[in-house]
Amino acid sequence: MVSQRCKMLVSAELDKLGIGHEPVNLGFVALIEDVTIEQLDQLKVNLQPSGLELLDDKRNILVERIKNVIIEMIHYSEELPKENYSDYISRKIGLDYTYLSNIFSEVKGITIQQFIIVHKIEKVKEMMLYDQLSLKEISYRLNYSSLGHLSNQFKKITGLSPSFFKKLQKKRAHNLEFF
Amino acid sequence: MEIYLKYMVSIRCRMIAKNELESLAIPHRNIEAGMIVIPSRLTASQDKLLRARLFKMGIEMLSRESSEIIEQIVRSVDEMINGPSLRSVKHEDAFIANRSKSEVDFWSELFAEVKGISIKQYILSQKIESVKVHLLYSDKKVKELSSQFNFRSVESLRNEFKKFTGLTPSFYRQLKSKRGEGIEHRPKDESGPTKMSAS
Repeated sequence: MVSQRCKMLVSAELDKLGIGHEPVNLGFVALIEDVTIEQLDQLKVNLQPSGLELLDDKRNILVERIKNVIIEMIHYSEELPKENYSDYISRKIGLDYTYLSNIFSEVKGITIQQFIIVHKIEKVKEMMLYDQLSLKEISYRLNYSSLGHLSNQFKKITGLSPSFFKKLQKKRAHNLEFF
Repeated sequence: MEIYLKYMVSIRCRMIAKNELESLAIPHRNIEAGMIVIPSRLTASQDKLLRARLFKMGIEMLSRESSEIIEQIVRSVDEMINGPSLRSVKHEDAFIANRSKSEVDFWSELFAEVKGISIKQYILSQKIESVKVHLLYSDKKVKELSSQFNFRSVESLRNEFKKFTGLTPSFYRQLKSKRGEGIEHRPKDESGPTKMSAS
C-alpha cells in the first residue's frame, strides 16, 4: 500500500462495511472499534481485486515494531547507538536483519535505511529550529561522518540547502523574541 | 479544513500542535509536517486562540492569503503530473516561474517554510508516487513511465526512484507479481491510476 490512491480505496472499503476507522495511513489503518471475523474476511475479499493484501497481524506488528525502534532511536534517545543501525535494530527486535529489511520494504515501499535517513533529516530540521544548534554540533550528535556528508544528505532529501534553514532559524527566533 | 503552519518539522512539533489542539478542545483528523486537518472550520475565536498559542511555541499559522498560495501550488503540481501533457512540459516549475521575481521568491520560500522541502523536490516526490502506482497497477514498462513522467532517461528515473525509496523500480514490479492473480481481475480503471492521488 503505497499511495494516496490506495489510502482512498481502503477508506472507501472500510466505510462500505461500516467499520469505524481513523485516517488511513500508508501501510496501516487504526480501527476505532473491534471488528468481527466476518467483517475482516469480507474486507480481505473486497480489497483483493485491488491487489491490496490485508496483512496478518504478525507481519504488520513487526513493521510497526521496526518503525517504533527507529523513531525512538532518532527522536527520543539522548544519543544514537554507536553500533550499526542494522545490528541495533536486529538486536532490539531479536530477528535477522535481512528478514526484517525485506518485510519492511515490501510493506512500506521504502527501505529501512531510507526511512532512517528521512527521520534523521527531520531531526536535523528540528534541532536547527528548536534547539538553535549549529550544523556542526548537529552533525556530531547525529553521527554524521562530516559536515559535508550532512549537508549533502540534507540537500538530497529536502532540495534545500542547510543555509536556507539557517535563515528560517533566525526568522523563527525573531518571532519568539516577542515573548 | 486544512490549517497550514510554518516551522512544524518533526514529531516534537506535531506533539506541540496536538497538545494545543486538545487543550482548546478542537478535534483534529490529521497532523503532519506543516499541516493540521480538522473536520470542521475554526471559529474566529478558536483561530485567534490557536494562532496565539502556537506562535508562542514558535509555530506560525498561515494567513488565509498564504494558505491559498500553498493550496494553489499543490493543485498546480497535481494537475500537471496527472494531466495528459506532462511529457512535453519543458520546465516543470513553469506555473510559478512565469510570475514576477519577487513573487517567485516569496512563493518558494513560503512553500519551503511550510513543507520543509523545495517546490522542485515536491514535484519530484509526487512524480515518484505516481510512478509507484503505475509499477504496481499497470503493465507499462519503466521506459514508458520515464517518458510519461518527463524524466530525462530511464537511468534518471531509476536514480530518482532510488533516492526517494532506497529501492529500484524493478523491486516494485516484483511486488506486483507477488500479489498474484488478484490484480488480473481488477476492473480497468477509466480515469487512469493516478487521477485520484490528490486527497
